[in-house]
Amino acid sequence: MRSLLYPSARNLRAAVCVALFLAGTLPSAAGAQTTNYQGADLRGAHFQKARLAKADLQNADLRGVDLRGADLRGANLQNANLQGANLQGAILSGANLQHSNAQDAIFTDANLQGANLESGLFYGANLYGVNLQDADLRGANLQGANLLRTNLRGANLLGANLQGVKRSIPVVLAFATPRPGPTQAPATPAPATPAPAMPAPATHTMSAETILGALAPATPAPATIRLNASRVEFYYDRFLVEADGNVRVRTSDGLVATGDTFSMDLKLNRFLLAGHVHVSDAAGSQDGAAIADFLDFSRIYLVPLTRESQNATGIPDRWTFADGDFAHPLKGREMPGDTFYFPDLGQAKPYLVGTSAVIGSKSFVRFGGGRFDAAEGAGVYIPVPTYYINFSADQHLGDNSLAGANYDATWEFAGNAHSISALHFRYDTINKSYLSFEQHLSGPKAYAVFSVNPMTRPSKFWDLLLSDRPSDKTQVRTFTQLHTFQYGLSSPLESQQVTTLQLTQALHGSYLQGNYQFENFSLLPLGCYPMTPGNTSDHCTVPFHPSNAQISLQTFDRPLTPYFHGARVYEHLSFGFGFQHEAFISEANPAAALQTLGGVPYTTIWQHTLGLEVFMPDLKFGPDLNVPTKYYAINASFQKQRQWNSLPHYIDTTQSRISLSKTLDSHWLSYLDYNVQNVADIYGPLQSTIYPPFTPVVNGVTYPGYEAFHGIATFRTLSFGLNYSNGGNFTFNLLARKHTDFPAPIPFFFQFATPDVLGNFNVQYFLGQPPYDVTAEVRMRINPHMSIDIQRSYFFNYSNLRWSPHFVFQVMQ
Amino acid sequence: MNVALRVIPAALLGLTILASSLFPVSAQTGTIAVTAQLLDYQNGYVFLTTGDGFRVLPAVAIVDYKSGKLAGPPAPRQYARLTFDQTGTVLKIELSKAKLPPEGDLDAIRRRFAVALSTPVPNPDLGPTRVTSPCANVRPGKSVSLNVTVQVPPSTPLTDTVYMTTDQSGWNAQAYRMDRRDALHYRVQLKLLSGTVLHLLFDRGSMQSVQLGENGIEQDPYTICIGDEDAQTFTKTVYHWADQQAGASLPIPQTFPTPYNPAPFPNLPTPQPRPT
Repeated sequence: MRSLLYPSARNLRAAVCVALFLAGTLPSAAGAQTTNYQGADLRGAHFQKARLAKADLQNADLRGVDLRGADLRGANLQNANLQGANLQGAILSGANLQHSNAQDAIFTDANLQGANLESGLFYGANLYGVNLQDADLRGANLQGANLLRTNLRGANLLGANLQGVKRSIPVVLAFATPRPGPTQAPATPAPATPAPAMPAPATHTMSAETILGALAPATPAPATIRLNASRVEFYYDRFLVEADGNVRVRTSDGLVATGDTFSMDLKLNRFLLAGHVHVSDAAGSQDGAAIADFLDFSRIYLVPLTRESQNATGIPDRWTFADGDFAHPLKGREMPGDTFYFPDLGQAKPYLVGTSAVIGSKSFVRFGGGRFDAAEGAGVYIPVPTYYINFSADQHLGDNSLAGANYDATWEFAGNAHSISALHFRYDTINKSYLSFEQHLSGPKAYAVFSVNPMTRPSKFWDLLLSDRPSDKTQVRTFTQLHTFQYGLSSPLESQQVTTLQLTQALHGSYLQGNYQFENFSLLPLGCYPMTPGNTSDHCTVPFHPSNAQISLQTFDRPLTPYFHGARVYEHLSFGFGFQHEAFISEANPAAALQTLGGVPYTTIWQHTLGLEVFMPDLKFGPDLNVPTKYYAINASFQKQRQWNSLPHYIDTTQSRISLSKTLDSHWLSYLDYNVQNVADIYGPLQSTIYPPFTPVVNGVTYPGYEAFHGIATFRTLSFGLNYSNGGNFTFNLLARKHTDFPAPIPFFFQFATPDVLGNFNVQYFLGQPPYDVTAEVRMRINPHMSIDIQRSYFFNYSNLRWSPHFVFQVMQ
Repeated sequence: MNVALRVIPAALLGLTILASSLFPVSAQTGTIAVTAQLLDYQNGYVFLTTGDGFRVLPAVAIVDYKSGKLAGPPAPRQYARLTFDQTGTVLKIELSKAKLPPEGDLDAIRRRFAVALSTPVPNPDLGPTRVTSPCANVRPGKSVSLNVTVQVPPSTPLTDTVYMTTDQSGWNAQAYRMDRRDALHYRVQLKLLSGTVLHLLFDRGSMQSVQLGENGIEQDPYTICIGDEDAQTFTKTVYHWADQQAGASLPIPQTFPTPYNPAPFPNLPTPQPRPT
């Protein structure tokens, strides 16, 4: 009952306050020192121009209250609710707004110098023109707040959320302010411009923008430029956006400019607008011949037609605006020589033509209402409603989760600085042509990728990749793949899943890694799911659910020897400990055990490994070790690893490798490589039991040599490689190999290793490979962004196999 | 006095000769011509891409450079041959969409005739000590051959292909296929324009197999500025690949679903010797 009455009592108190205020007895500044509104419900009160200095408003409910022009110097507003309150022009210097809720409040032109806003909620608040000098904004949420013209000098923004804030131009734009000038302006010679050079970043003044850029812990939105014109063109090979006719440019700083011609170099992050330029913002405007904005350096260069004289046509001048200070143009200051240069486009054809673009500084460009050149250079334009191109240095936006394909044309139809949505038009020899979808999200420390591939085939792979880097020395990554066999989004006939989790911790001189992986060979209830009624062989579940985990440690590469002929020997060690487990074992499914030995089914096998790698890159010998064509290089490596298992056996893996290479001239190089791999599965006294003597008979032919195989295989490969490269425009590779393996290959006895769609063999240790093969590869660049790769192998009539079944044909973009 | 009488005319003569060599003055009309690219044309001024404005005669002749016929108003991007009178006023503008052969001394014209209200002030930004950008002093636009060589870890599978991925290609993991140079090295050659700032990483065909740092944490992209020399080399070492676990020994599914097989040989023939 008391709790129900309590708010009413507060309301009553507020009403008394309002009455006192209206009666002119509101506490004076002196009296305010003792004013106590702690926890009061003051909603609906009017404190316009009230003197509330040092008032105690802790936990007060001030939602929607009118505090315009109020004097709240040193007031205690800790935990106060100021949601939607109007504090325009209020004086809050030294006030305590810690943990206060000022969501959507209006602080326009208020003075909060030295105020404590720590952990306050200022979501969507209007802080236009507010003085926040030396204020404490640690951990404050300023998402979507208006910080235009806000003075943040000396403010502590550590941990503040500045996502989506309207960025600050610290002082008033004063283009239009008329100033006294000579009645007849002298024709002063223009300054001689020095050789083209980029100005250095300003370091002498710390603007609010700089503070935002430096401290924003989340992902601050990049400066954006919205461009509209009669024709907007994009030149992919040079990352140029060019626009002509009725150009209108609007920047996220609130600058609006119109003109005849626009040019922006996305990589240099600077733009130029020329021809009847009119620049304006809320505070004023200026006409001129051209304006150039060097975004990286906070420098804007303007060629104005000044109105400082009575001359109706104006006089040309040169103004530089530094750090967004539009009120104080640096008149006559020399400018970089290429400030107003247009790029020479020659006869180049644009990759994309449209009428509008949104450019995210150093990150992306999104075109609207355009058409792009599908043949890249041939001028075959396909209309698209929108087209997005990412050119940021954030590699995670390119992190793919799609399997390889022979051809992939990507339409990135939506995106911004931190996300891309893309449709892939793909072709591979297994799935033929199909569509896939991929979504990327990326921030400074974490990223995520989701994809469906192929989207238009029944056998679909749903991938989700997540990564987070909580510190520079720690990283967590997970990958989950769900496979479904389903038509459209109908009930699946098959469903499998695999998930991996990886945690990496960097240490001094080594790193520790934990890996966990589990697979579900079927997510459906046990049984068969026929495509056609009565066909019980279709899509039956497989009752396997294996998992494994491992903790491993690997040391950094450490030199073992001093330099000798430009080379030294390095080593690193690795150690791992883990297990493999298969839980789904029953009488009905005895084969599900990982392995059965001596009649004992093993559902869990513990393992530990120890590995050593020693290698020596580039031991050179020849008459001149500084000229690549005048020396030979030897590269060598040796790897040895032993894996002990709780099921009593161990696996030794040894690889020795040496190569001799020679650069013949600036185009040609060749190498000779010899590689020996040895894999031994050792069971000790049980060796002959596990790997019993066995004589294969294939097509009526007996192969007694196989009798010698007891679980120890050796693969020897001698390779000769020849490579020609003409500056990347044309590449030719020839690889001839001789394999001497034990056990020797027997046609039709071993399975063939199946290459992926790109012609790569994923299995390293492979029994039964053809003894000879030659692979030729030709790669041609057909334009600056596309090349074609064609390769094929010849197997010298091994079991009637001459040529590889088909060409590997890949278009690379 | 006699000396002064001799020196002053000689100096004047010298200056005249020097001026005539600087400005190609038409013998008949006393005009000066220069070719340049236009930035704007408005309010009685023509502006060049140097940022300078020049007074234009109200009755200026605007013609096509090739045909000599009357042409429309000058526009940004266009090239022009400007004819000045001795006072620095533009008498004639000949327009062209194509770049024109250099003519006249543009710097001298600018110093002599460009109109600007304010007195020139040095720019401290342009001082050599303030330049920090890696590409700050590069002459942009020249085709440069970039030779990239990477040393891979010895554990790199023999049959794998190594690629280079860059921001230039939207981080397409298969944009630049590298060629094997020897047991531990791959190389790629490409042509880029000087002034390009390139961010790059190495991978084995997808970003799941991208390189990691020596400490096992993801590698931040390398940054290269393409200089204006004819050829540039870039050499790096890959310590680990993201898809290779540290001290890896456990079977990793290469395809999905993967038949589980703790034995080292996934393709032993049938009938497979089974342990009993």
